Amino acid sequence: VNTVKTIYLDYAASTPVDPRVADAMIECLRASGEQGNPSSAGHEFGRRARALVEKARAQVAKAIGARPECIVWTSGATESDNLAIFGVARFNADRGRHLVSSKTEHKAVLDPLKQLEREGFEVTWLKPGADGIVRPEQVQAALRPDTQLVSLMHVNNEIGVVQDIAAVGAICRERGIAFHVDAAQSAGKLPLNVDAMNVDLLSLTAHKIYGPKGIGALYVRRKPPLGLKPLIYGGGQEYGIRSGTLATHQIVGMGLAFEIAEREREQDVERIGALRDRLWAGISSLGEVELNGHPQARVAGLLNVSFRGVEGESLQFALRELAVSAGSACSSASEEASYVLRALGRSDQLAQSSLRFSLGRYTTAEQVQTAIAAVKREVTRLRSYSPSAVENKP
Amino acid sequence: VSETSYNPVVVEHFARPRNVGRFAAAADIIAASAGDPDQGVRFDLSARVQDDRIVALRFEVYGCPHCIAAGSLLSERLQGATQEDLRRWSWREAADELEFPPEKRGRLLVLEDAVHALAAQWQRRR
Repeated sequence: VNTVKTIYLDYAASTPVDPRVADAMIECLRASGEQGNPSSAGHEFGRRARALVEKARAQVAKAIGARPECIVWTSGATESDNLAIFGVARFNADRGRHLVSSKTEHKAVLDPLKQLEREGFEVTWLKPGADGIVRPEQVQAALRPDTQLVSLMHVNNEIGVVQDIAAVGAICRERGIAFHVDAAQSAGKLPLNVDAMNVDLLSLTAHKIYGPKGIGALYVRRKPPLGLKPLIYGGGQEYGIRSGTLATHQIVGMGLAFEIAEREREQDVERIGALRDRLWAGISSLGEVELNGHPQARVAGLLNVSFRGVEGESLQFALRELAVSAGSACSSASEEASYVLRALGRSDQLAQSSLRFSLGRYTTAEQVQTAIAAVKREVTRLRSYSPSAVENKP
Repeated sequence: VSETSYNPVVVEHFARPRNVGRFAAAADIIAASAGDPDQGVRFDLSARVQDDRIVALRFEVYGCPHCIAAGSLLSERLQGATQEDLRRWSWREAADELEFPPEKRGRLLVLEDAVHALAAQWQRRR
């Protein structure tokens, strides 16, 4: 019997489903639940399912200050990012083929942009400062007469820094350039308002905000209408932008998750922020550790720390009682050092020796204390094996 | 990274590596190193020699769990080794016993470099 319980500190990778959300989803799936196709407007089963879908649409819309008809359901933030980027680029391809983004975006933004480069588009890749922040002036300077889209994430998934979306949005709005924001890591953590932020396209996902995996949404500005070429063709659901039968139970889960997250956001953020500060105080007392990313402009639940004189894989294995990420969860299978930390100017060694701790709704003070003790014990142990040459390296 | 990513010998040596450390420079001490932390691995070896044999070996390592285990295993195996044993030591010995993943074998070559450098040091001492 495994008596050592792993402490989950990987909320930025995915969150557990809130029991209230799970209950609402399970209700949908019962025999008594809404089993009709939300697009079957001709009968009561379909109309009842549709009512649930529209309620959820209003819940998600309200959380980001949008009108419900601007919300398009997708399978998650990756699809939302793909739809936004390919959708705008291909719709406007005959008017211009230049796009602007940054080097520290999520792969779900980087890879579609790289694909567009192969298709003949041109991308300006902005390099953030050592603090992970892209300055609005950098965006301004990158814009050209043929620029069709700027894509910038709100909160970075690896280091948690917050970009000045409203300022970048204002620059794009003034030039009439579409602005896409991946908000997968900021929903439920920061106030979101698409109008105040001057955003035209906003990617959202449920599973980072205590909802289920496999469901997301893309906010698409309606006034004035924004042209978007679909990725998926079929039944013409979601205003023809995203075909496919709507997954009622998933959508219900996402709607409720967003409503709860917005309602409880301030108290969650305050509590989680205090735990994060306690974790950092404990870890930094080790010495020879570096916090990655801007020290203030960051979300509450995330700490990305580089440990000098310790190899990354050994650190991770030594701390296997903690469920944390080395770099981004999606790319940790690869041996290469985190491209985000490298873009910030960290050496390969420091980038490899970094861990992302992300806290959330169910993290307790006791878990944080246990994590601090484990980190101090194991880092000290591994450092004691290290050639002194390593410790003396700059 | 879970327990099952490594074979039991690696897990054991990682938890309790033998003979970690280094001998202070002295007439009967030889030392050598190989690798660079920027490439993910470095081994520092030092050994006390008596007549034509190693009587004690210490190692320091910056590296993955497989590398820590390899250093520890080596430190046990080379007790009593001769110069010729060092020169003949091959990465294959540790690769098999620790089930080194193929993509990590380059790291064992670094250890082999360190062992052979130790032999060269010994040779020069004489």
